[in-house]
Amino acid sequence: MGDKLRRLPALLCAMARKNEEADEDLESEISAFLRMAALEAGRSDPDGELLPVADKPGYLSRELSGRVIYVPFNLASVVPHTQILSAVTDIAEAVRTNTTSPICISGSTTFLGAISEIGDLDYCEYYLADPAGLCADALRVGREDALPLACLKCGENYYNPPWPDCESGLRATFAGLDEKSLKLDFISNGELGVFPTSSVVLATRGEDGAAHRSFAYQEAVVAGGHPVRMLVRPDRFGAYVDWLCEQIRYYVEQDLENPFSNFPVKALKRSLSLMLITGYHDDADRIITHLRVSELSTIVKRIRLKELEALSSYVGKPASASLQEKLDMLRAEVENTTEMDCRQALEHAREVARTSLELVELDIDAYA
Amino acid sequence: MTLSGTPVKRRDKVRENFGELGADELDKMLFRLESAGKRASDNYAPAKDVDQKRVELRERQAKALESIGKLSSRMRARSAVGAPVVYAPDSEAATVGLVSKHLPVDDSHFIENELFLDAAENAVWHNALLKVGALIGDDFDTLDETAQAVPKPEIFDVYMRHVFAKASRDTVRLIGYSASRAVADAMPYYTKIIEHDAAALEPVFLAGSFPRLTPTSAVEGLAKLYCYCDAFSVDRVISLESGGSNVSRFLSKELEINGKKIHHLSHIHPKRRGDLDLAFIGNDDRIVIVLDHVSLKQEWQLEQLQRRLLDRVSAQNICIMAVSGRAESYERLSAVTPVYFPHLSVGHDVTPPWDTKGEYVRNRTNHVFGNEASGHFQIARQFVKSVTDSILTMLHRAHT
Repeated sequence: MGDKLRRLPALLCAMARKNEEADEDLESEISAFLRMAALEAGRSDPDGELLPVADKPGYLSRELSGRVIYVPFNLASVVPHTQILSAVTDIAEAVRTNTTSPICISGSTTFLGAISEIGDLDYCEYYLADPAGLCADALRVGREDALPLACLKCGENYYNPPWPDCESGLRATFAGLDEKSLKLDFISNGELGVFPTSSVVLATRGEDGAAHRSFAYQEAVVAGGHPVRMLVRPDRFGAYVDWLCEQIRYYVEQDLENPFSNFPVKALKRSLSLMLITGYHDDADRIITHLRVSELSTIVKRIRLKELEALSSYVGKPASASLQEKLDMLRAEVENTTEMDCRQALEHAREVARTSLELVELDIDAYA
Repeated sequence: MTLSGTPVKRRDKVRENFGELGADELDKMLFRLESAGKRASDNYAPAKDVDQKRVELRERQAKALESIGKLSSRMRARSAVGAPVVYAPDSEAATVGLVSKHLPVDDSHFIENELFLDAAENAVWHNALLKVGALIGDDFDTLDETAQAVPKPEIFDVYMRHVFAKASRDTVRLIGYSASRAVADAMPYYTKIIEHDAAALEPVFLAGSFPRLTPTSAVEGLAKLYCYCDAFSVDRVISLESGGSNVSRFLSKELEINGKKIHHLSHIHPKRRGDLDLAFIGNDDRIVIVLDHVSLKQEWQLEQLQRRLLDRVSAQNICIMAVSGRAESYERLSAVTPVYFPHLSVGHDVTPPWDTKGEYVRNRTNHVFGNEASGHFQIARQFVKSVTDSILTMLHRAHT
């Protein structure tokens, strides 16, 4: 793909910032761009299995144990390989609220093909059934023993077990929501290890309802059928690039005094997403290379441990022996990490995120 | 999951993907792409100094990433000793490490005792070593620096002898068994040298957070690769783009592997791996993947290549070899297949003495490492051969 085409994401972002509407031609052009990007990304996943999907421009797909996995072009090179994909898909099955709705891995979970250490597992489920049933389905998942559900966020309220005690309050809050969505926080303890695991459930049939709370470009569908959202949306594409920029800007400036803050790592991961979607592949490779081998991964572990300890306290029952053992192992792995190390690593992470953002902003500014 | 026959199927699938569009649709798509490119170009009005700003930003980014790397080494050192340690600047750490790990203080009788040389043979051997030393040339500078760092000159003498003994022994090994075996028939102690090589394949740890590989170590490493490769009974050698083609071609030639079984993978980069076709590999083939050294980035690429190869052959039939690499890379990669790095760094990436900026293809006929243009360390094929010829001649004269 030529240099001119590589600038399209920056152009779309500049348009999104100016609230410029896309004309019909632009939509066709983006469709062609996405087709080409998907073709270029073909077989770039660790297993070399992903192939472009003809009727879904920008998506690539592969089979995994009888299911079809759909991955946006920008995530193809970092998406997990078969073994990890199987493990995250098993967890997806356990956290999903509706068996006929598509569920995606999201955020840094989609990077597991390139990065060995992440802080949590993220999912996004598109709830296609009657939105009114979402709350009951979430509570049913909470009562199941497959994964301990530690927290349920509805609107601005947080609910924790025991569920019977908070069910009526939760239902009342849910009924008052204009856009039906929930966030479920679990502790998963599977083949990948022990992880804080969150699933955002959005009641939508495509771009309506709560769909605007997430972006299709950061999600790979791992179960439940086809993607319900199209990538050929110049406005959403531009908004996604803009959102990543805003997130980086926000995270690098927050929580500066906290030596164990999760924010700089989040900023770095957002910069990785930004570099991938804007076609700065070499910069993305550099970030991946350092993220996966450096002691930033130890710090990510430490942050993960902290979150797990907080979630464990909410579960309401003693942790299983296996979970306890894995938490102890995590503690042992991070015990030599000092506050000074964390402070310095996070400051460097902030700088990498800042410079990545500024690189992309140079292109966006050129369309201002 | 098996890859058998799938590269062809995959190509068909890609073709199908475009085939479904039809010629008209394909034309339209290309037209739209052109139009998109024009749109992106027509509206693009960068600031005047945008290129300069990009360079500055990349420099800042590289500096921050490097700082993360340095921090990593420090933290790794701390976890290796299991308790907080005082951070020493790299230069100090390198000196301390060099003295404690590299100087064969206990090997003062290395040449005489371990190689079973008698006095006469020893004298001849030392002459040979001097010849090697003179020919290596570049290495004197490095050794001079080392000498400054070592408190006792007599230890340095032993160190030099040890280094040159190993270098010349390995250089002899490098040229191939046919010549060395002929000499070995005539000189019993030479057999001992060869026997000693098996034990000498143990990897050497390089000191410091940002260790450098000396030219001597590079020669030694190459020789060890040769020995290990020979012991592995390799069928096919795979080399990687920008970092292995010269070494693999050299090894292949010396091991007398049919030229058709050397494969140069020039598109291992994940974004361009569409061209990676492993159909040439048979199920029983023993494969060696050769690099000059393994950097952080190559470690990731190697992991992906390992995974792809495992679909065709068993793990024990794949071996990754490089003159140097990080201990962490070794650990990560060897969890999947055998790995051999003669030189291991417990810190950051190893800096090799040769130019890492490419130029491999142009120089592969004449050079094992490096290239003529860079001014960096280089090993010309002719040089290796002349050194070996000199040594063999002297050894032969000594015997007769």
